[in-house]
Amino acid sequence: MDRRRIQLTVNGQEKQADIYTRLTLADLLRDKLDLTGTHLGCEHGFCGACTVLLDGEAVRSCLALAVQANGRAVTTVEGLADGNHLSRLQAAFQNQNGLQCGFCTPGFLISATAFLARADNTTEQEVRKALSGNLCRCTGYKGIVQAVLEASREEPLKQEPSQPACAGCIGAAIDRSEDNRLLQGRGVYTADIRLPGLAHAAVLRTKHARARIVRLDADAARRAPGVLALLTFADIADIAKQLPQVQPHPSLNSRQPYPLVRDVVRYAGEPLAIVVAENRYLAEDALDLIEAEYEVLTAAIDLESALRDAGNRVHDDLPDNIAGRFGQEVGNVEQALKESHTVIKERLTIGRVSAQPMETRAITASYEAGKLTVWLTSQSPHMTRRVMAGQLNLPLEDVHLIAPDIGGGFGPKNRYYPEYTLVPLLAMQLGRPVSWVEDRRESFTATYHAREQVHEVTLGLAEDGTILALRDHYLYDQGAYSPIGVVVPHVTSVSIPGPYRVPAYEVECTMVYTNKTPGAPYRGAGKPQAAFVIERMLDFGAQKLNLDPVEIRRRNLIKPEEFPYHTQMIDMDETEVIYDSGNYQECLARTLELIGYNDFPKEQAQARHAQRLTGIGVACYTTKTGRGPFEGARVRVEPDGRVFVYSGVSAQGQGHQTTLAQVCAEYLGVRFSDVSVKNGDTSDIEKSIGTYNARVAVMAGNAVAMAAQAVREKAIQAAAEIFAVAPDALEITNGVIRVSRAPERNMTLGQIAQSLNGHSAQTAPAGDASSGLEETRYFENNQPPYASGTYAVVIELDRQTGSVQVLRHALVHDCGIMINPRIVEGQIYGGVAQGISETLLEEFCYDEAGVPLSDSYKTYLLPNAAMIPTLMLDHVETPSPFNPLGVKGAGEGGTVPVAAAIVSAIENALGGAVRLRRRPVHAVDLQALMRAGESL
Amino acid sequence: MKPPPFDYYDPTVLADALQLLAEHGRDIKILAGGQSLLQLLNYRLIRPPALLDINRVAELHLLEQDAEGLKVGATIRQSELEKFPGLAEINPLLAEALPWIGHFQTRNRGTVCGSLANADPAAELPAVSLTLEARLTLERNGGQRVVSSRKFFKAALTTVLEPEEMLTHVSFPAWNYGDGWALEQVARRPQDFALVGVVVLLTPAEGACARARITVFGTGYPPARCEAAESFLNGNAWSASLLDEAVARVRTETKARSDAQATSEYRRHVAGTLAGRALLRAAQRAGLTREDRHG
Ligand SMILES: Cc1cc2nc3c(=O)[nH]c(=O)nc-3n(C[C@@H](O)[C@H](O)[C@H](O)COP(=O)(O)OP(=O)(O)OC[C@H]3O[C@@H](n4cnc5c(N)ncnc54)[C@H](O)[C@@H]3O)c2cc1C
Ligand code: FES
Ligand code: FES
Repeated sequence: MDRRRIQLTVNGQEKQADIYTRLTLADLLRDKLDLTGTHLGCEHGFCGACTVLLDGEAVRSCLALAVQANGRAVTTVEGLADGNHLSRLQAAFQNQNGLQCGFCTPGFLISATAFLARADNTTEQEVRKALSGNLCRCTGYKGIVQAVLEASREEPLKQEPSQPACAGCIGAAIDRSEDNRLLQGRGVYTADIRLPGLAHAAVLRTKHARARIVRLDADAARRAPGVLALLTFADIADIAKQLPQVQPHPSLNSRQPYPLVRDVVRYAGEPLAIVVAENRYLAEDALDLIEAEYEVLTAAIDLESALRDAGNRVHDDLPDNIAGRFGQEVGNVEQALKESHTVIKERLTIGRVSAQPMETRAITASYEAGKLTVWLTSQSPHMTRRVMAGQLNLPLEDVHLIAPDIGGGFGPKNRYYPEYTLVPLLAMQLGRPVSWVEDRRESFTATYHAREQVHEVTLGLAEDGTILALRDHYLYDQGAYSPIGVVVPHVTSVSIPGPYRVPAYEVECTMVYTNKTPGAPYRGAGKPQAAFVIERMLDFGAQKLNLDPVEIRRRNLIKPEEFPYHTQMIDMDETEVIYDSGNYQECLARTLELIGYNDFPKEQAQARHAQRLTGIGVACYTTKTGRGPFEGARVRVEPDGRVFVYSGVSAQGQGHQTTLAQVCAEYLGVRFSDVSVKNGDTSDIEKSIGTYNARVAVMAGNAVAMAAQAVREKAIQAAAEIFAVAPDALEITNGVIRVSRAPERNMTLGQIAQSLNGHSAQTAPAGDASSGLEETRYFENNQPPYASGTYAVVIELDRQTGSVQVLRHALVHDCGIMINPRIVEGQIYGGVAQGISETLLEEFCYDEAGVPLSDSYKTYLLPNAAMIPTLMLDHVETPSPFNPLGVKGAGEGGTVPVAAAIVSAIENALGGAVRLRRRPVHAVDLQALMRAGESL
Repeated sequence: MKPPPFDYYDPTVLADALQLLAEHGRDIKILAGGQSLLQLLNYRLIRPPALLDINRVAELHLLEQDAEGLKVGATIRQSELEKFPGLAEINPLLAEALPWIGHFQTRNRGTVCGSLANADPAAELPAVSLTLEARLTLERNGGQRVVSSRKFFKAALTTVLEPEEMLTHVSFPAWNYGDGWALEQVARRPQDFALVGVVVLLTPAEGACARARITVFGTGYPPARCEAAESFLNGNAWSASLLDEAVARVRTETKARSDAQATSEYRRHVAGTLAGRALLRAAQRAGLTREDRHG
């Protein structure tokens, strides 16, 4: 193979490297020159995360060879700042919340730098088009577009905001503490971990949906150049355990895989073998040499057929492919339907999607002196560590798991996957650290999917549109295994009534195994499906009763005085579903105002006159957030006044380090800038649950508040002894504790910490010296708060091509007290963009044999900046009475209502001439529908 | 997703490059902008034993405009042509088409000739070259032939290029001032590959359409001229009903495939719709009509 020595200038510095000619420019930068700010999100040219400047022009470094950069100049994200001084564009990104997880950020910064070098007096539309070759899964593009616009103007950038004092820290729209590092390409994602002797793994996956392995011959691969180890099931048979069911449930027929396929393949993408080599190129070469022979079996692919003619068994011992069945009834549905004025029966289907965070999953494991250290893209380090220790037969104490920077999660990164056993095992066997980075192609089948359901719904209405009864029997496509049990479909089952009064409700869910990638939670986890069902049914009801769609909603929304509202539904943990607080009417009214609902008919008529079809849709929602049972926090003050907060929850872009610091600053009485948050490391705190279900602000936030409060009380007690005053004679502001009536008598918290830590020139320290000025608290809560809101959207439909364009949209959201409004807004923008995308672009499809039809960003489309207009966003703040901070989660709400509203808007554009019963809705299907009803 | 092993050659002289092609034949692949080829390599969908990187061959970096037209050599990037001074006058159709290709970052690498040689059915430039009746120069060790774009595209991703041949440059004929032009396409998302698209070029003469060229692309087949619709328009006075009939003909004569992204019915119908829109815009530009809406 060809080797070359090349010479190039990188960020102004001369560099030389010995390379193989097949090395890509991206890998030269990342692996040979250690410039890991250039990220690999897809390796086929579509995501833009790898964009660099080559002789001043923006190019994809994954689609250029390193040898082609010989003699040329490369600029990476690391070369944009002047020392530590952010470039104007970088500073604008910070100002405008142009980033969350930061994984896409280097690519955007480089692309925008190149764009701005040419564009003067640019417009929002031009910016959106210029950025359309870069994908971001977190921000919904709003902050990014605003940042580029801000940077393009002549005016000086917004001044650095003054850091708020401790009081008022909660609720302040502070800049995120994460940003500076990420903007300079100094984030450390799992794929960026560099360890001496690091070896690289690659996984062989099957292409078949269902097949028996007849022969698996890896001999040639084991002997291939650079190969260090290779595992098939035969190599781990004596130690392999099935992945454990972490969420057992009485109605679940749990089926879990071994880390490698034992004999029967159950979905395309299931891992067959893993190889470790000196580098990823060689590991992939070795995969090519493995020979597999299969007896291909007929697969169960279609959800309903898998249940109906269950001849094609996913698991031999489950004749009907049923993974679980559960349900409940509130009131008497049969009776209530009889008494209804209007009864509507519908069948609604929800397509399958893949979450697609811009950073794929990755793991790096190192085993030294009997201790395993693992860096992992995990949303729940503590839970994952426990499973990993069990799988590897290691004592829990010997496993240290760190979630470093994570490039978006959205749910699937909360699960335990086969590679999390295999990679540490290989590191232990080899005595060398091993890294595996899922590639984009693998991510489409190896990372768990979401959403697929089919509902048979019956809605009973009174003449005035009041809901009398609702019955829903639905199927959930579980895929081949049940990694998280009944969670997703169960969430759906208790979310369908949503923000409405439903006096009689019957629900039954059947979970079905199919030969597809397992299903698991993805942003909203079961709630977007539920919202789609109830909102569609209300639209159909309004049509039938000749009511305005908004009016039927208004009549059924739970009223502010009805809280806490007892739904009588029983949740998964056997407690009643109780809505804590909210003002659903207010959210609806304000949304309608923002979108211009009342004037829309005029606007629509004008558009029609110009032969343009436009439509409006509105959807209301509630969303359970902050699931229990507990989360913890440790707060410590150092003698120099620095404050550290430790929390188990990892972050995937949500800005936990900022929000948790705000809570600590407020409750302890210190400056925000004195607080550092360390999170996602199992060595920092004993127990933790994780990041999902919009639970961090609620659970970790309140834990930090409690721990900070406890530290505060400890400090006050010590100071009371030192100053010989009563504790209530003292106050703390900005890290100084003083006697209220004699402020000259004061000490810093650092001094108190020093005294509590003890030193040899001291007699017994004042106050309670146990563990110095430090406290750990766990917040336990099984009364989750419910966020709520209304989303409205105006679309334009091209009657000939079926293309749908979002013209404008608005959302008014209530997540209780907002710790940091900017962070909350970022969550909503991102969630709404994902909602639009899974309505108009995304669907994960298989052919009849179960071969996936999506394996790249050419075949599975994510939205770009040119198709998500800026959301009009406003807030209603009804504090949750169920937790001390009064917060509700904000992470999922944006995604929940969107599909329902867009589909409704499309129907509205067509004047109610078609009924849409499925999401997603693609241009091709819409066009076919419109042509079928030629009159349109 | 790393490229498989290959031998790598990056000659600086065309003769050497052609010699390498002659020696290796099917075992060597030309690497131009790499925006399609490196995707395939990263996916390991192809495993050529050797790559011939033509980027350093000086003779191929050719971009010339003269009375005969515009000559674009094999290493001219799409963005270089886009920024070529006066392109909007020299060849307004190319100027309109180029920004539709991918993104500015991919156009900074991707070449004009690479797009033609790659012959992706959804690509804009093959359709534009067919509309403009461009001529392609194919060279081999010791010989060359010039092929019209009508002959060049054989099937999806297949051209008449032999393994030992290189497309060294493409010549776009001089622009006929007064012609109207337009490109219309539908994609699932802004700036994505076309589900289907249409390119139109109209030559007016005294209120009539003297000569029409209509090319449909993105059908799963190579781009194709709509001859029935063209001959129907040729020589006729412009009118709304003329346009309707042309649209109907485009729908009838378009052949299209179904795939995961769109059905053939969709493609055929929308090809007609887009032809209507493109013809109307082209007719406005050619001064044939002032109407501004169709379909
Ligand atoms: C994200 C993304 C989006 C894209 N969107 C579009 C789009 O919307 N429309 C579009 O048309 N294209 C699109 N492309 C592809 C386009 O960018 C490529 O530039 C083009 O298809 C190929 O040109 P290239 O110079 O990169 O060729 P390469 O990738 O280097 O080569 C492509 C093929 O042509 C052969 N070849 C190249 N040059 C010659 C030659 N001179 N003689 C003989 N054979 C040759 C190669 O051997 C290879 O088989 C997109 C690409 C990406 C990454
Ligand atoms: S990694 Fe290069 S474009 Fe995605
Ligand atoms: S911030 Fe863009 S992908 Fe996370």
